[in-house]
Amino acid sequence: MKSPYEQPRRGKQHLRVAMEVSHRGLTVTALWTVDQPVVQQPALYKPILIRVDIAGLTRFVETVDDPRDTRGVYRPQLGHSHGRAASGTLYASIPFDSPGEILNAQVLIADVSEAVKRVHDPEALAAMLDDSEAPVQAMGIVAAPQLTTHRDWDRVADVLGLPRQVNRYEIYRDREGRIRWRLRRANGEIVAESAESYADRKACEEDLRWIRANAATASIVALDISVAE
Amino acid sequence: MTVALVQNIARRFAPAATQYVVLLNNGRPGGCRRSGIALFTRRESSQVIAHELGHDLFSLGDEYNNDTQNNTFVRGEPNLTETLADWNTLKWRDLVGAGTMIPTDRNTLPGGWNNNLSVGAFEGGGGNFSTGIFRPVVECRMNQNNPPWCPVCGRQINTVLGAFR
Repeated sequence: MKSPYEQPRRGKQHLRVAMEVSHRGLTVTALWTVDQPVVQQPALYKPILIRVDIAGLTRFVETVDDPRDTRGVYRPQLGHSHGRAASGTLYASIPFDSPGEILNAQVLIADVSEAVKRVHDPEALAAMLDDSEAPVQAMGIVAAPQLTTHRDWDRVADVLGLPRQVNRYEIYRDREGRIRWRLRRANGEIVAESAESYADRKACEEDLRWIRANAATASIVALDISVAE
Repeated sequence: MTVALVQNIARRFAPAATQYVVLLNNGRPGGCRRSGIALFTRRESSQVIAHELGHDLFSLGDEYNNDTQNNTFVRGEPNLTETLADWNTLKWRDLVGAGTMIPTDRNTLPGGWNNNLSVGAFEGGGGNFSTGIFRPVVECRMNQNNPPWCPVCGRQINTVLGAFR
């Protein structure tokens, strides 16, 4: 019987997840669906390892270049020039046979630049993420909470017939470039928004935390009813 | 800004693409690659672009070397290998012609040798390594840009593209 790593095609479709990588960590920046399988390469040797688990089982492993690395074109007798940017975009592919599998997906991302100097076998590299002694450095995990709360999720959910987002608070930048929040129902309707704008995101997040902690128990006072004399 | 712009266009018009090539209407030579986007000016030749795509699309390694370092790593690239204890396990052994010595000495090649198409195992490659690393041919697009890809690189290209047939 063939090892699953020798069977190149994974899934009927896949979800492409774009993530910004910087010193602050990983942030999901975009989601979209692709109507074709992903292809498992038999040998992996690039420095960033992406392992996709579905319901706890590894489905797909790939290595990619560090998106912060910049390579200049090849010049005879000179070779390539290399540089390093502060941030870059990393793409992960989550293969699936049925759309519901996305909700059980977990994408693990790690720097394996030391490990791939010796090992290129996908199965061995994938296992290193579970080995605390292995020469890998975890970069982040993306799972259903990060996917289903992203602004692109509703569009993905509509395409795949999955549930849309639940009610959510959104933090956004207004036309003046200041930070605001709004509360949006799952149907897209905005039901509340910040009365004032914030100069920085942290102050906005602090207010949102206070609202989430206190709003459910706040009393209702009818200020527009005059008291009969 | 350029990366974000390209990504927005790509998602709209080519959502299945994993690599993007941008041609800049600029007469100066130059180009670079980052985050799956390769940018070139119109001054760059198609051979340079092909060399870069050899890295990005087909996981090919550089076959040139501009330094004297010794490679001590296991090489995963399909067109490079570290020094092997058993040369019969060479990745491209099946493409080496009968009578060709492995490793192959460039100064004692058999008659009728074709620098681009005849396959052996020549020391030097990976960009910086003059020893401890071997490449399949004397001349290939992953070495000098202008020659066509060698049989080993060509096979890798067929393998990658074959998955999409």
